[in-house]
Amino acid sequence: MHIKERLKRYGHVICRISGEEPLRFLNLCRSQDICLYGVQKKEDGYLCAMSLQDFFRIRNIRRLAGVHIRIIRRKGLPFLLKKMEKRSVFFLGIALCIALLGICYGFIWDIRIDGNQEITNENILRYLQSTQIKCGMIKKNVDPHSIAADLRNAFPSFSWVSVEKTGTILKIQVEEARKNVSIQENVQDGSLYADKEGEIASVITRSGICRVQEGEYIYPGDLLVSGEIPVLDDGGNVTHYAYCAADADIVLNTAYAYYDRISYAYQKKIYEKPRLSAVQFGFGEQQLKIGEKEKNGEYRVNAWHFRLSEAFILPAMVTVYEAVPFTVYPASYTRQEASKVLQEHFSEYYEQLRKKVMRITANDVKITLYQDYAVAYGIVYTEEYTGALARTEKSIIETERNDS
Amino acid sequence: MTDKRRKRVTDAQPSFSYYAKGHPMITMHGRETVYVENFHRLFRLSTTEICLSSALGPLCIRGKDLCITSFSSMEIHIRGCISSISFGGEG
Repeated sequence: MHIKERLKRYGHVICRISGEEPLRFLNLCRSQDICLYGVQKKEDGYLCAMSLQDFFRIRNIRRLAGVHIRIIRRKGLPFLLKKMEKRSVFFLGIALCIALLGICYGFIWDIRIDGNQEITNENILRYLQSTQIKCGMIKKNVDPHSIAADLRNAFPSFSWVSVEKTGTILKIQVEEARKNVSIQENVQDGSLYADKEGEIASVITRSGICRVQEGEYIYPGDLLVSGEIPVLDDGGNVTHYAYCAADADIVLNTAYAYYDRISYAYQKKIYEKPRLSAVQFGFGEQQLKIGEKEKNGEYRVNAWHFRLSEAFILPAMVTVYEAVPFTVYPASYTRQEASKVLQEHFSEYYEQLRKKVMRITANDVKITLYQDYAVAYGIVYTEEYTGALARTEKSIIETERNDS
Repeated sequence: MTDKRRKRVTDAQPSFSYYAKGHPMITMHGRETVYVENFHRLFRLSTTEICLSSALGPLCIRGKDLCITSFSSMEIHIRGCISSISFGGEG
């Protein structure tokens, strides 16, 4: 072990040697096999360092040489431990805190679901709860692969499911299948029917017989792709029908009418300073609420989840309810303000529609300002997929009977 | 015996004889560090001069900012800007 490392581990003292015969003291130390380090001449004596063990051996030598030894500094682990002894409760607290964090890290404290549109978070969480997957469960018992497989089985509309454990969070990412993909898994064969009204933009058939063409205008319920395939004999007569699950990508040109009207006169809410109404502390599933929430009026709810990092969420949270009192005054928009409000409304509608359809191709929405009110109206043109799988209506083959 | 091994043994021989006679062994690295083994005692210590007594008489190491890094029964390790090492002087 290196000298410096040894001194650090076992402790050493830096002392000043002064008195009658300091050089004799140094030579006596040498003869007694006491190792000295960093011996320097100073104005008021000599400075040197020695290990803690050796320091307890110099008592007799010190008397013999008639020197005074004054400890200037104590260094190393034994002195550090001695210091820590005084603050033992503090260090015990730190150790307990680290242990507690370590224990908390072994549990799942949050389940995040992303990518779902039709199936709500509540439905997925309810299903997970029924399979004993919930917040507060031990992380070791969570098998992401089996959860993903279970979710795919329970929700056939999920075309892709990914489950991963990140810190104390269980992240579930799903992708929902388009409607024309078979929703009823038990339907072995079926035909595709229109579920929207519009003009067909393109058709790519993968299985079944296509009954529509590009440019054709269709209504909900129209047969698009038939899952019934006639099998002909040499004479061109239908001998029987083969059935399959029709599958196709059918893109439809659709149009959505938009109408929004606002009056210039309206009721304006003027909010006052929010006041603290209730505070709720939560640890795991245990909740403690201080204060009472008023039943009427508007509220602002702020929730803080205690976390050490983005992925390390702790089971403790605080929710603050603030009542926001307001007064209603009659007010009126100017023409520019009314136009701006209508534009904002349309932007929101546009964003929602953009998520719902495949593509928005055009829109001719206009804003018209009248004497007492303003109106935004027009049509938004879109492209979207259509086709819902349903059971095929089976045809009956008429056979000719020759009675002789 | 290979040439290399023979050379090593010959090189090592003088140090054994010096030890046996009680002569000091001085090892110097550049002009910053010097190790002295087989000396009797330390009789002068300052930042410019460190004197040791040995079988060959007093051994003085002179220079600037001299400091004893370690001082044990086996050796003394001196660090600083060394200007001279000489035998003789005050005993």
